Amino acid sequence: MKIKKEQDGGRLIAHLQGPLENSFDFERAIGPVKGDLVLACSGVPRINSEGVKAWIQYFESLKKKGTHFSFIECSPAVVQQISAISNFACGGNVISIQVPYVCTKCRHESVVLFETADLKKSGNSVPDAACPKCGGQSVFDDIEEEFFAFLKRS
Amino acid sequence: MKDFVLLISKTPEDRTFVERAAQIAGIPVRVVDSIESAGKVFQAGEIPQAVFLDLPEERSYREFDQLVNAQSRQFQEALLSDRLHFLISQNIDECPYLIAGPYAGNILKRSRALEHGGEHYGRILQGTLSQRGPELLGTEFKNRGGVTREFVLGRTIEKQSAIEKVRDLFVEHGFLGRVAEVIATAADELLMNAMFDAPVDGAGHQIYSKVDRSTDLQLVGRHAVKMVVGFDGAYGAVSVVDSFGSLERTKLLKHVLKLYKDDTYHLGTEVAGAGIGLASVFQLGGSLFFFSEQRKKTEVIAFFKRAETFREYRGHFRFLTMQFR
Repeated sequence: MKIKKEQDGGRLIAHLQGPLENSFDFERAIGPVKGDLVLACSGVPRINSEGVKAWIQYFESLKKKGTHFSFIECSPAVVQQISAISNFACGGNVISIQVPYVCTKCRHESVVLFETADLKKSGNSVPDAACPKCGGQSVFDDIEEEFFAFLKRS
Repeated sequence: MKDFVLLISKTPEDRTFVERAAQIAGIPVRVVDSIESAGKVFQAGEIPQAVFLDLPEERSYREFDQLVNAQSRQFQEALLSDRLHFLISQNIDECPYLIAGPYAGNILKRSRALEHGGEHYGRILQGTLSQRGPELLGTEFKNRGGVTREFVLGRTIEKQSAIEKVRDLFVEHGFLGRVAEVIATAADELLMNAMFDAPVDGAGHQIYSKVDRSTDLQLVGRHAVKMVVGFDGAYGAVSVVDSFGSLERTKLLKHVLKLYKDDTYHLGTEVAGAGIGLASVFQLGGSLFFFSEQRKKTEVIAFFKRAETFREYRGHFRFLTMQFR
C-alpha cells in the first residue's frame, strides 16, 4: 500500500492506494498528525486479516491520543470491513462511501460515490445510475442489509 | 458402513440437492422426514456413508444428539462429524448449538440457488468419502476442460506477487473484479496459514505463529507450500497445501465459526489474524473445504461461484467442510 498526503488547511488528507496487507505501518507512512486526519480510501481494493489488525491498532492509538479522524470515499472493500467488524472505524466518522454498481446491459462494474448522511436520509436506498461504459442502466450490486449494515449502527 | 446417503429433511429443495449430489458421488439416497424415522434406520444397524440433516432449531438438534447417543459406540465412532452435513438457512451465528456441539463437521448454507449446487457438492461429497484426500481441483477442473495453475513458493515474501498473479488470472478469465479481489484475499489468508500457522515442532507447538507476517522465511523441505488455482465455467478455486497436518478441529471451529456468535464481531488488536481471514472469506461468499491428515498434510480449498453480478455470487449456497483423518 502507498499513501499520498496533502495538507488542506487544518487537516491532513491521506490517500490510500493499493491492497492493505500484512503489518502495514500506518504510523510511519502517515507520520505525525497535526489537526484532523482524513483518510481517502477509494484506492483500497482488498484488506487481509493482518491489514485489519494494523488498521485497528493504528486508529485505536489515534483515538487514545484524541486525534479526530474521518473516512471518505471508502471503497467497497473498506465498507465491507466497516459493516462486518463493529470497531473497524474505531469511532471515526464515515463521511462518504463508494457504492458498487453493475450494468444490466454490458455487466460493467462501477462505483458511485454517496454521502452517508444522504444514504441514511433515503433509508439506504440508492437509485439506478447510467453505466459509465455503455450508458445502459446500472444497478446496486451487493446485498443491501449486509453492505449498509454499518449505517444502522451509527 | 452401508452404501447409501441418508437425508433427514421435509424440504423438497433439500431432496433435489442431495439426490443430485449423491448421484454425482455414485451413492443411492434414502430420505426420511423426521429424526424418529432416522432412528428406525439406525436401529436396523445401518450406518450411512453420509447423513444430510435439516435441524432448523435447537430442539431438533438435541433430539438428533439423543438419537446418536442411544446408538452403539461402534455406530457413534463410525458416524463421526466428518460424515454429517448440516443444511441451514440461517447465518451460522444463529445456530450456536451447532457450533458448540460435537457434530459441526460440514455446514451448508442454503440459498435460492441450492438445487443448482448439488452437482458441485457431489464432488465435495466424493472428496469427503475418499481416504486419499480431496484432490478436488483435479476432479473439479482438469477433467472438465478447466484451467489449473500451480505456484510453488520458495520464500514467504513471494506471497504478494503470487496473490497479484492469482487476482489477474481470474480477472483475465472473466471473473468479476470484486470476486477476483475476494479470491486474492482467500489465497493470501490460506498462504499465511500454511506459512506461519501450520509449522509445528516435534511437540506440536507452533513455530512461527507470533512472527510478523512480513518476515522473509525460506520455504524449504517440510516448510514448502504449494498453491493451485483453478477455474471453469462455473467455479473458481484456490487450494493451498502444507506438510504439517497440524490443523485441529477445535481450533478451526474457534477461529472460523465462533467469530460469528456476534452479529458483527468486535476485534481486539491482540487477535491473531488467520482465523478472522478465513471467516471473512466465508462471509464474502467463499466455500471452504479443510482436509487434514494429522502430522502429514493439510489442504484447504476455497471455492467461488462464477457469476454475472456480485449479488448473484453472494446469493449462491456456501459450505464449510472439515475432514480430519
